[in-house]
Amino acid sequence: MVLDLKELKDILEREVMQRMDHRHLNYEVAELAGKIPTCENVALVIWQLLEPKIKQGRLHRVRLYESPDLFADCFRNGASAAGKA
Amino acid sequence: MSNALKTEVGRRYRFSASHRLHTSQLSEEENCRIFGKCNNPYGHGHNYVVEVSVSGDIDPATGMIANLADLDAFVERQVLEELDHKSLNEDVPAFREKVPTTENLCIEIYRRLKSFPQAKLERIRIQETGNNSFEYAGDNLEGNHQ
Repeated sequence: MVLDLKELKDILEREVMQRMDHRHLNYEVAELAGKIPTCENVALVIWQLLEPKIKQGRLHRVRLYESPDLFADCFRNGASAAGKA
Repeated sequence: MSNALKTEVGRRYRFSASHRLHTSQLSEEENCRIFGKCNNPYGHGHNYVVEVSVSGDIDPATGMIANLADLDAFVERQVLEELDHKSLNEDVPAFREKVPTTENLCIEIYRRLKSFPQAKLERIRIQETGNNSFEYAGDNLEGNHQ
């Protein structure tokens, strides 16, 4: 394994779900204070929360779907958002 | 800067069109052998799903890379109005000579969208059916228009 998926799931639960799930993104998420919670900005905040927590392997990309027809990708330059289904 | 964070926005659009895979450069028999059912004289239809990806800086004032209403309007005008419910072979000038495979359709849609003024067009991905998809990310010249 690159990273134990159970551990990734725990990191996501702790860093993202507990902060954002069922919350009002404008008023209840400190990392989004002063920012408009567009799909781009939320994806970027999720990247910033996850990247330092992933010690094994390396965070490659965050894709956030706002709806089936709208999503934002965040990644480090040199990686690519291409090639995913 | 090579390690800088990059953000892209992807948006899906749908249209329906018909096509026939056929080229005058091959004989009837060769067309039939290569394209199979897709060479049927009267063509056949697809419900295409087009994924448009653009990149750029997030505007701190709006939180957006590009205004989606503007992107939607641009795609509507440049692509959907001209391709939806059309025969690609007969109604789209680019396919009078080129075979309207979905590879070529990616290139044609990329060509129609690369001048979007608010963000850089990164790639076009088209799902022709649930089982196949195609991507075009431009060549260096096209990709570096900004």
